[in-house]
Amino acid sequence: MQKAAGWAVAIVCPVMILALYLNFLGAPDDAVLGPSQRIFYIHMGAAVTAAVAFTVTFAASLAYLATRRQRWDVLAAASAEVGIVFTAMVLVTGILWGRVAWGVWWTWDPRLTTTLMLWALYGGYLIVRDAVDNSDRRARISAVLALVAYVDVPLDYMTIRWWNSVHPLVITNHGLAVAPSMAVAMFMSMAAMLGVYGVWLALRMRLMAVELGIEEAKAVWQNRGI
Amino acid sequence: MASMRKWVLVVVKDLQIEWRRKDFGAATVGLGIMAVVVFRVTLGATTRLGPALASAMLWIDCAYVGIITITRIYAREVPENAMLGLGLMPGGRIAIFLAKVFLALMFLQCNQILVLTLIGHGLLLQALNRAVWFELILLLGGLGIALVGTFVSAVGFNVAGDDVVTPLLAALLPLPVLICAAQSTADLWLGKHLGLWLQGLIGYDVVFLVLPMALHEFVWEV
Repeated sequence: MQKAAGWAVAIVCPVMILALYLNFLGAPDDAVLGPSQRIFYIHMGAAVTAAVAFTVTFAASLAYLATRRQRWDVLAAASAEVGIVFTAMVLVTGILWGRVAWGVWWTWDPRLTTTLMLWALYGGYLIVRDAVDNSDRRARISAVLALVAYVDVPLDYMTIRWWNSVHPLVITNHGLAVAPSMAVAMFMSMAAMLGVYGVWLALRMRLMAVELGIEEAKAVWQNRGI
Repeated sequence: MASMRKWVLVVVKDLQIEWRRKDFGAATVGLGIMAVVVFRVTLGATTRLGPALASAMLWIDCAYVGIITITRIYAREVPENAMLGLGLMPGGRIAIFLAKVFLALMFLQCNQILVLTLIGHGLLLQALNRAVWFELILLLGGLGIALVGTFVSAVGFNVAGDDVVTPLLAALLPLPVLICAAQSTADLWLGKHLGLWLQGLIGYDVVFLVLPMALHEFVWEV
């Protein structure tokens, strides 16, 4: 496991360095927004990674309810934790970009509202996990909540398509709405962030498995009166 | 048939408890009046209430009722482990959930009527002109809040720190319902065409009718 993690880091590091090079040096400045446009690459990469993370949580929760295997619950929880961090990155970079592009730090636009909602919902999911002591019940209740919270993910994606929004539309029906040189930087950023997500997920899952082992050992000791 | 009977029994039981305790009813009336008073004081007594503000007032009030009262709808089953008894009754456990949703919707509709009466006769008359559409929006919005609130209450019943978690989830999950309902109500008052907002409301209601029905058994597993 440790060897695999080492290999994963060895692959992700060069991808991340290349992505950072393209984001900050390789891609051209935007004609209107200037260098502040570079925030967009981080923003987009983090947004795609957060969506993938919550989709993994959704799928793992579904798998847990179907099979009742603890490893699915561990995967769901670890992915949600990492997903929350990436959603926070989306919000922070979005706020910074919005200040330059729209002149305001925050606006109650449908996309911004649903993203904030997403962040808070999965925050609630993690709070619920902490509030239940019994590991089986925790896994079951949080799997149910993860499935319910996932409703917001497609909603978040579709808001700018369904309702009037000031948020730019990058992926349109006619293809990408960015210049090809910018698209390369954007995709590289996505790849790098997905790599970071993968490594982080593996590490977090390993840690959670250890935590569960300790919990089970404690329960056994308590039952034996040790 | 057994589920239908169970549904009726749970509704009757909860209505009898409400008749004795009057806690949900009092909270519904209290919150309704409070929201109108706060809005009226803030806007000033002479300010004419426009459709957008009236709609916001109506749905903020529903959100309050949803967060404060509906999320406690399963709390009545806590003493003496009444939920276990209800679960053992003949008929599916989903009947309990649907009975609670029905009760929540009843309280919400009473609250909506109260707030609409307090808002002022001008807007109320306007609403009555398109009464069928107006009731449809109130019903769909109320149903969305009732479904989410009841489901969250069921989850909270099984979680130790539900005092914090339940209101948090109950405040966040129905946000799309509240946005769609508030926009639809304002559009109706303004005489606009009810398009996407109403569709969004129906879509969200369908999702939150199907999801809890599919997942309800997992929540109550022993």
